[in-house]
Amino acid sequence: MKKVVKNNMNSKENKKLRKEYIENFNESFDLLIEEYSKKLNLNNRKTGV
Amino acid sequence: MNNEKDKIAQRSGRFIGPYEYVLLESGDYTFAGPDGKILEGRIKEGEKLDWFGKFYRYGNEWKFNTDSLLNLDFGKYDLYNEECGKHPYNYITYFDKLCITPGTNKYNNFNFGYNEEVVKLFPEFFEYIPVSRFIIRGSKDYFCAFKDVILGRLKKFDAAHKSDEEWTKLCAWAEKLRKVAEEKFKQIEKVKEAGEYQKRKEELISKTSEWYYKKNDEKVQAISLANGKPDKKFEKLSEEDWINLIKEDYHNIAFVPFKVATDAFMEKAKPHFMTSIIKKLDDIDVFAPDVKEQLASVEKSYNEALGMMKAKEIEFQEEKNRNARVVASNKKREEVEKTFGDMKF
Repeated sequence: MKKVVKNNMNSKENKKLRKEYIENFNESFDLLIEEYSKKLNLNNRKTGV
Repeated sequence: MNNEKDKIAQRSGRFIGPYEYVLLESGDYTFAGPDGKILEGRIKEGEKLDWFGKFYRYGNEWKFNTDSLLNLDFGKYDLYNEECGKHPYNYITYFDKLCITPGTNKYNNFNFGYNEEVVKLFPEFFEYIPVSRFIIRGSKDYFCAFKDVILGRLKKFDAAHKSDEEWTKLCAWAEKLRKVAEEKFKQIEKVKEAGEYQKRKEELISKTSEWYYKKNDEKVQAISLANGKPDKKFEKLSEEDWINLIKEDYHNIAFVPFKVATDAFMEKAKPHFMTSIIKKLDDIDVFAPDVKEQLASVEKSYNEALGMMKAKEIEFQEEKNRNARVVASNKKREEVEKTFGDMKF
């Protein structure tokens, strides 16, 4: 009988993949912001009034 | 809730929060009161607006549930909530009318439509922030806020153990928005490189410095065009002047929110100066094709935002009902246990 593989969102592998994706997304977005901020001479985040 | 507020709530058929708001800045405001009557006029700083109970609190957030706020130049710094002791800047969490303005306030912050709070709530609107806003702002605020909100959603979804399918959809959405950010950077670069923005700004300042731009601490601030009625500074402008201004200053006028905000205003308020301008603009087909596309697209997003807001309301109500049921059930169980616990068989 064919083994049924459940779509387990909590599996270690899935968790790891998601974590990696989030980290990569964050890093690459940060790089994008940094790169263009430098190029366009944009300042650091300003605090609200 | 006091009696007076109860009465107001009854009349307006809406929830009236137990808070009073104090107006921080005096100015010309236009509201619809709970009885549907439109209130216009100059409101003094420090004046209390107790019928402003259409703002209410949901968890730690401030929401407003108004279709009556007609003032389109209403920034987050206009109100102060005494009880909370802070600016209820989250009061714009959900809105059923885009009461937004393309202007900046005197703090050089962006009102409603363009402040980071809105980006955080509706990142989809990021795309429609005009390039000039980023340049005037001169910081990476928007981009950071934009990234934060996307990241926040990813984390939240991950923690909620959503299905693979939903996760994939969310990733596609995140990637799409990242591309939007990249595209926005490229647009800024292009405008800056071409010196187009600077050129436009200088031209405008020289032509219209008195009424369209004002200099403040060496920063140039745009004055709102969509505040529902023309500012006194604009009074001397003819309709033709306005049309020419809008035609010329493509980058500095936020067509999309301008249109949406004006529509929101037109729907509720009596006809006024801006109405005729918008009609004229439509007649002369001043909008470039890409702006028309943007309009269609933002109207779609706007409708989706409305749907989202309604869904949130339903979710909130359901959660409230569920909690009430749990409390009632627990109470009943306690009573039963108490009764049977005391019985001797």
